[in-house]
Amino acid sequence: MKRLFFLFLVFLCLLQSIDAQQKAVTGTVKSSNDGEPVIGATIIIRGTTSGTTTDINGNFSIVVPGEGSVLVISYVGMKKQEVTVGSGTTLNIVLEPDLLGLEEVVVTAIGISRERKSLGYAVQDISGDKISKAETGNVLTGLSSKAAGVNITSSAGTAGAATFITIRGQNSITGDNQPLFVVDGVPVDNSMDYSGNPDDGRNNLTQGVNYSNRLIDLNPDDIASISVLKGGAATALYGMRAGNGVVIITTRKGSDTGGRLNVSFSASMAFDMVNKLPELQTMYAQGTNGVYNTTTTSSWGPLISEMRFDGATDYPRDKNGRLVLATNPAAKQDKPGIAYDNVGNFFQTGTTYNNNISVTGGNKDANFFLSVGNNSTKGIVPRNTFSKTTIKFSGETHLGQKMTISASANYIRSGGARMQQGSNTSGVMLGLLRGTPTFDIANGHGKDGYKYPDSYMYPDGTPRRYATYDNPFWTVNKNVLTDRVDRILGNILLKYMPVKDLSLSFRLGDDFYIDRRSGHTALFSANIPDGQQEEDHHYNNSLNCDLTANYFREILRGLTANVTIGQNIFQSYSQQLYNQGNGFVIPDFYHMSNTSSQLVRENTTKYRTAAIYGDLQLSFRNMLFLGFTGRNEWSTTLPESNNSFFFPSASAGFIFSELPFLKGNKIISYGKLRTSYAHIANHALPYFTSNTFTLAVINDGWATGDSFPFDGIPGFVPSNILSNPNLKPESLLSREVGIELKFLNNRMNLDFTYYNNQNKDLLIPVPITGSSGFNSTYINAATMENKGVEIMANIVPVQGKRFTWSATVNFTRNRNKVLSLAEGVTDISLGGFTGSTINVVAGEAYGSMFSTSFYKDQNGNVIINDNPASAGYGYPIKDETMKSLGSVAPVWTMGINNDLSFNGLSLSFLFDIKKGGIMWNGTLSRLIGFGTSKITENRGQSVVMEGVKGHLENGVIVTSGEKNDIETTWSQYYYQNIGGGASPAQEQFVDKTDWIRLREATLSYDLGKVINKNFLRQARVFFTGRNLWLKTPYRGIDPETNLMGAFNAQGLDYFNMPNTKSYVFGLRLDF
Amino acid sequence: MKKIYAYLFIVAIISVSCSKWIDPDINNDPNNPTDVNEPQLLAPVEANLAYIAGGELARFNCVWMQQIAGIQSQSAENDIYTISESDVNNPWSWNLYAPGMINTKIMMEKSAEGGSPHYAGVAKILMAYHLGITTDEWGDIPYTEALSGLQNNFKPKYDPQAQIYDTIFSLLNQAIQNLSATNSVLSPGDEDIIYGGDLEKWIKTAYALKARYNLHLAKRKGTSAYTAALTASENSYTGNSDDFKVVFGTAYNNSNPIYQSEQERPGYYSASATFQAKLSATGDPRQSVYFDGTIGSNPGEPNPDAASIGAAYASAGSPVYLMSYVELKFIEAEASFATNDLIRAADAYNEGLKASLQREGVYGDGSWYNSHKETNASISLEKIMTQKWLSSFLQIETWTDWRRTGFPTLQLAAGAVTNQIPRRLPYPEEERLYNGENMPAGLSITDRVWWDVAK
Repeated sequence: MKRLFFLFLVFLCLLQSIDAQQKAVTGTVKSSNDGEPVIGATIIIRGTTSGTTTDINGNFSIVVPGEGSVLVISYVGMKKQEVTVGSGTTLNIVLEPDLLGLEEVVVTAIGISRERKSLGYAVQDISGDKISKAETGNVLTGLSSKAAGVNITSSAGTAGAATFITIRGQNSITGDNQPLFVVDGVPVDNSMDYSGNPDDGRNNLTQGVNYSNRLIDLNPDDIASISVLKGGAATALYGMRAGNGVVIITTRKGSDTGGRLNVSFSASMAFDMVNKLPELQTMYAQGTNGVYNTTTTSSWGPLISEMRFDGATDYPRDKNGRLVLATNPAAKQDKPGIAYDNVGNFFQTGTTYNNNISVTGGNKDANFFLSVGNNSTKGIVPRNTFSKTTIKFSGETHLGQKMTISASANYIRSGGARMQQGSNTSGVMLGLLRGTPTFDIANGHGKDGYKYPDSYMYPDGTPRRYATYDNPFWTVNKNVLTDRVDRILGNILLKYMPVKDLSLSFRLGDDFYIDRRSGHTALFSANIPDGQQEEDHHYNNSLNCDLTANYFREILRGLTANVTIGQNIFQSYSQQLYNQGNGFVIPDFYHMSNTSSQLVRENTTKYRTAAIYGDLQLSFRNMLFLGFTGRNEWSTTLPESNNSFFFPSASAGFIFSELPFLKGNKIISYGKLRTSYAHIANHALPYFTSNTFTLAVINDGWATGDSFPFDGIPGFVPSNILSNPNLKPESLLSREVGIELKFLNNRMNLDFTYYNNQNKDLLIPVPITGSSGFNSTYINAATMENKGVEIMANIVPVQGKRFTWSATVNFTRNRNKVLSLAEGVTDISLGGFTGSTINVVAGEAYGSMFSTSFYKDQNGNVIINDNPASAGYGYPIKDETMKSLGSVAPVWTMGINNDLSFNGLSLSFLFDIKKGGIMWNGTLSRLIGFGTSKITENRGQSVVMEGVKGHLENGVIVTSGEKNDIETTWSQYYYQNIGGGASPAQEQFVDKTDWIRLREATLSYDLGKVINKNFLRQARVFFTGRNLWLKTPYRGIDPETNLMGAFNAQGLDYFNMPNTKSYVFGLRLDF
Repeated sequence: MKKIYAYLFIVAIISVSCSKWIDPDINNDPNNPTDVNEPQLLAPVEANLAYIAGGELARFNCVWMQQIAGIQSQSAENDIYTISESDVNNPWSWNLYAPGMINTKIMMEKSAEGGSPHYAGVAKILMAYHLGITTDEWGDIPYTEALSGLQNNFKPKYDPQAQIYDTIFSLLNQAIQNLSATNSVLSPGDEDIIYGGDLEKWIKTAYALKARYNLHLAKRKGTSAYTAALTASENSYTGNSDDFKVVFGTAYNNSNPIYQSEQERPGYYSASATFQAKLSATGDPRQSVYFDGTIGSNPGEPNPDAASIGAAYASAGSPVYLMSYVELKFIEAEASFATNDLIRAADAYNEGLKASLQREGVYGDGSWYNSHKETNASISLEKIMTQKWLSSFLQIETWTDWRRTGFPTLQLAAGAVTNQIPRRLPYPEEERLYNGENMPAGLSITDRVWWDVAK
């Protein structure tokens, strides 16, 4: 820090030592269409990144380095204009409409704004209102289906659940595959910290609760625009942390409003409902083999229609009395058995309130932006909450005549109450769906069950549950994890323009947060009956500093050069302090002091990078554009002797429609070819260059295991991963070609990109067998490629004075292939369960579903067991060998958005189509075994299984090839061992996850015509529906889910929380 | 000119700050030490050994030996002998070899270099123990080339079981010598969670293990194996207080593996009806120690009403017996019986039974014991082995005993997926994937290991 401060001082001194003649200019910007002022037009001093915007009257004022400075004035939908400052001090500028949209400016790496037409690579920008309009309260989910090449998966519909994002597929095997997020020039943390004993590592993600990834902290209403940099040439200037693409977020800023305050207010209210659930049976009671039994976990009992209550009023399990067969003398014939609607009673209508107010104001010397936002959600699961309050202030002032200083601070408080899910006997969905229909979890209280302790607890404090698994109402009241994040994102930006066309800038940014979590599992819970308290603190701090210089020059007539050089330093520091207390003494007193034993873990991670970079952009006659970048980077995570790496990129754009024989063409109004090449990288994880001993942990994979200290005695073991003194960064070669075409005066646009990314030296912990004394060795070994196509198309079928209809299509097809892992290594597990894991397999796409299957003959016919002595006679035979069933990733995805507007009324609807992809429906497998799935309603019926007869002899299948004719039944045995249960052949539960969904539909009305513009400038009311319609073959919850959250192992559904559909009503007022 | 100096100055600042900023010390892991000594390596070996032998392996083996029953999900499948190669990855790769044997090997190396024969002796006994249970579970296993990951040998070849047994005896003999040394730079102390540094007990354990592993070779070596076992047993334990056992801690992360299983997977395991029947038939007082009821689950027919494992064996602080006076007495009984010393066989049987009752705290006034003693006239191999089985609750040695002698007599589980009770574990998936060229192929779980000669 000291050194940074020093650097900063030196920089300031330098600025003082350079002088030039500065000059203040004021002016107005009007439209040639109607002569009305253009509000919010951007005025930039050419060759710099500094500028201003026009106020509500189209006025602006700016200080320029001197006469001869060139101002670039631009506005969406208008042609850009360049004006040279002469001797006068006022400028009157009239902008012409830009029918072709050629002058559009986009934000590129290191925050440099460039004209879209000059780029040799694909950049997709999304305006802030498109994100906030989705009203998801979450930037990432708001971005879903809106950008080609970007894949976004929310893990659940519960409040605060994580969202996973990748751009152009995965680039790393076990490292981070999510893009870098940069907010106002400062990289921000998007990690998903998880709780649970750190000794258990990623297994904590298969149980526990849904966590948030930290991008959730951003307020969508503060966002002005998002720019998605996809390929290597676009991201090369960001270096080793940008191998997975970069999402640049620009937040709203103040502007010169001529001293008046502009106030905006928006409010919305959403109703959230479960959108899809597995189908459950309502015919059979708890029991086994057709016999009613209240201690078993399964529902293989008698038909409920053949049961009656005995009417007892003192039976704690059921207010209607004991269930008995109708033939039992105690049966009250007028009290038939009931299949309770536990699922219906459990899920609630969630509500989300989203309120934002922002104030901006400024004059020619200074301006500010202040916003306060609050988003509070009560989830579909009772007692599940998430809320977020954000306060953002940014200000800009002109220091003297040459310098501008701006600063921004954003405070965020977020968190909520999270619910148990997944592979966890206290999991909400596990207890709810495995639960038998003949046990009323609400004990007569219906949807209010969660409010009444007698629904989930007996008077003596023990749980009221159907069998082993917790009543979900118990879990939501007793086994909750709460988190609270306090976060500050701040940055200071200093800009200095010593002479014409030269600008220097210094940006210092910091992102830090503390995430304090407190969770408990109550005494008597199914999971950890002795109770457990967790206090888990995560502290993260990342510091980023960029020093850049930008110089613009016309070298020859028609040939211009724009040079940027810069230096970057970055430091990431994180610390987790995890405390676990076990064994509560006093019920319902959740504090470490009330636990009989404690476990403490601490983990600190720190690394730094430093880089120098340069960027040269050449433009020739606005027709041919060339760009070159180079970045040399050093990282502390690499071996000292070999920690410096250089990454170059080159790109070219050629606007062929500017060629004389095409210029003015009526059909093709614009055409551009572009191509780029880049060598970029992902850096190595810290602390892998030398071997260490680690705290001893004993784990047999069945239970939590033991860990040291053991009764006060410390113990260590060699780290099970062998380190590597020769680590290198992961290397990514990125190539891209694209074409942009605009037809019929911009009524039709097409942007097509093909890319081919070759990744090598990918770091993997190469698994080795434990008999070597270690379990893996960390080496640069794997190679992988991503090839794909992105198409963005835009068409305006109707464009009238009153009615306009435009449609946008984003199409993405990424073909990932893992070319090789390491010698002798065919696959690496990313996570999952015995019998179904997500693996990386050489020769296949990233994220293969690995599972057990049925034996089949050469023609693919299932072998049906024809050994009459076997319990599985007449049924298929399970093959224990784990096989790949293909990739969990989609083949292609498409977002289709339609915008219709008629006077002030506008309607937009976004369809999201996904083709391909699979998911393990572990939930269904278990529900069949427990006899609660609707599928088991055919129990007892006879069947001849499809396939050919055969059997195992000494581990080998012997088949005659004869078609199966063995008649058997859909038996409990079959459903618990072969067609379902704990470990059947899992291939039958690997479901397709294709979908078509109506992701968003918004109807809004602009009250522009009916309001008093002096007081209320703009008013809009809207209704948005999200996920209103979904069509998918997936036999469970909405397949847009993932057990392990925002984690590389996607495609697992094991009692995941369901997703939601929402109805949102809101209004927005600008004063 | 002024400007040029200024720019040069910037460049200078940048390059200086870069070299300091990228300080290689930042990549020194603050969370983990780079080196440790024998005292920090010992306790993890002992705790890990007890956790795996008394946990996952006991749950596999003792379900098959029908002491307990698997009655839900995965455990119910194990009840009918379903066990996959991935089920044994953890015991092999994440317990026995690492950290178990790798820590032990480092202890052996450090104690040899550092002049600490007492630690060397303890380490060799522990290595012999690990090799013993690993080879008994799987057959041929890697050892001579194993544990050499630091030397970049990731594919160790397999040693035949006969050779592993030679190694076991050699390690135990060396250990007895090492432990008798007068000088040792480091000697085990409180960090030895089994014996607290009592070297005499370690020596007795070396002899007890010699007795056990000699006995295992009886089908191969005949009388000489029994004589060797008897000789070794005479230098070994003299009472229950000598037992080679780990007493787990009450803290959850120091607790007994069966306790953790019951906490996190309640309802997966219960009493087996076979074991309960034997205990009920004689009114055995140990029944109420082993289980919290008298109902058992029939093999292959899960009964949710069956009794749970009793508090003595399923509490946080329950012990795991790795070798015991009780076992030693039954070794003596079996070896004496085989060498036709029926009086000694009966005496050793009776002493074993008595020690077991005392260990479980149900000896009382001895009246039940007195009415269930055997004599040289009544003693039989079946009685010895059945009583050993009844006295070795949740100990994997019962499986070895059954494979060696065929006792106790067990019925195949209903709905069994194999035509007989398994006689070995499948090799782990990780061995097949990452050391496939060395791993013996084509074996099924009903195939026999080398010492398990078919009669």
